[in-house]
Amino acid sequence: MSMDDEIRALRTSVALAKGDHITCLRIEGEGAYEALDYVVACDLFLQDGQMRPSLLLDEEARPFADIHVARDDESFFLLAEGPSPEELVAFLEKRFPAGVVVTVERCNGTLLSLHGPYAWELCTTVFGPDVGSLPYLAFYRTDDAVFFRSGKTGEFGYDLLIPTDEVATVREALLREGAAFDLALASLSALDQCALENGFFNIRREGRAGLSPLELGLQWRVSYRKDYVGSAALQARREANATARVVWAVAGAPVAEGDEVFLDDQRIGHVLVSGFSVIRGEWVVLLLLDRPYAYAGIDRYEARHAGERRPIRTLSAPLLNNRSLYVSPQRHSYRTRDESKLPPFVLPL
Amino acid sequence: MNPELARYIQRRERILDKVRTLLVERLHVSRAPDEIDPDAPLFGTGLGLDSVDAVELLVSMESELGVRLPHEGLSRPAMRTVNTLVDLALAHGRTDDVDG
Repeated sequence: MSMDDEIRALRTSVALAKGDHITCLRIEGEGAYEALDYVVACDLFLQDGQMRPSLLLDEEARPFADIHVARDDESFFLLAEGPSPEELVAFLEKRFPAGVVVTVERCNGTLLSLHGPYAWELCTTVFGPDVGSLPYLAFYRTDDAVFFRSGKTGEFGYDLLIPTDEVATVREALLREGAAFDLALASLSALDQCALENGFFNIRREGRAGLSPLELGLQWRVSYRKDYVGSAALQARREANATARVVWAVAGAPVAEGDEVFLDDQRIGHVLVSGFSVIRGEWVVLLLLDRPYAYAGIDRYEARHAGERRPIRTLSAPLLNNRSLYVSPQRHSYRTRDESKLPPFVLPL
Repeated sequence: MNPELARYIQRRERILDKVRTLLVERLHVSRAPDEIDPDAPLFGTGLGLDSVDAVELLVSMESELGVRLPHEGLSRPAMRTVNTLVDLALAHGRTDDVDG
């Protein structure tokens, strides 16, 4: 199956993906809250069963990991993308406050993930209504599995932590029951393209550009009310005012990472990430623009690619009108869906 | 910079400021205005709004920026991020108020 087909399935039905790009850690001990609070960039005001997206920053306020932190009674799950498991554990152990009683262990299991406007329905079919009806950014655990409702595609998303000796059986059940949903297997590249289309931060792409949450537009994921790793550098950068900011755009012809962006003859930024959107039928681009030019809704900029200028148009993310906005677990079903009643993926300006 | 583009950016920035103020003062988002990034999600854990806030947000957008939704179908895509609210105000807002 091509990546375009993987994305079409993810945008219209359900896609199953591996979760081996995510590290799941279990943080326990009487000092678990204190330890995590000092490394996680957001406020840890979480109720039992809730989760929240945030970041682990390095001392220069650059993202080290893209995380979801989930509270499980007095313990926490940390789902992290970016570093390897070994790098992640070393980062935490080096930075946890001295003397705090805390243990860090790899979660017992293997991660799978489901994404799509009908992912909730497949989850209900295979795992039951407690999983399918999970609210966004909550998790549910059984004796041996944990189901996280998150996702970075703009569609219903579930990360499934399954005991490793059961994962083949669960995967088989998902494929079998998923046939009625036209389930597809999705690669990490497909997930990354969907994240780009929906304006989700990607630690493997723009996350490695040396930018802080200020330039990345991720201040909503950080706190200015507490001290944590990277907070001093972030505050200093804030007081100095960021000189650039990310902006989403579309292009009718290919543009690539590193291409310079111009307004007339003035260089105003460059392309951070680019990928073809089979849903929009054009290139979707993340730009880093000088602050005075970093606005959506402008069609006067050009990217220089392969020696020629290519028009680009800046837009507000998300760049898709996702099906999941309109599909309701109370009223809809994949089997009886009527695509003609759903609005278009791309709304007119 | 081309004067037309400069005017557009100035207008967009002015609406962005108004939306940020509205979020802080009317919706009680516990952030300083400059912490509210243009692409911050409004709901879920973004700025933490919920379904009750959605109604207040629409009412505030109308009273503060003269925004009237041309049809109900526009409410979901328009209320995803700060920037989509700005887009809404640019397209369907009271231009005299915005420019003033």
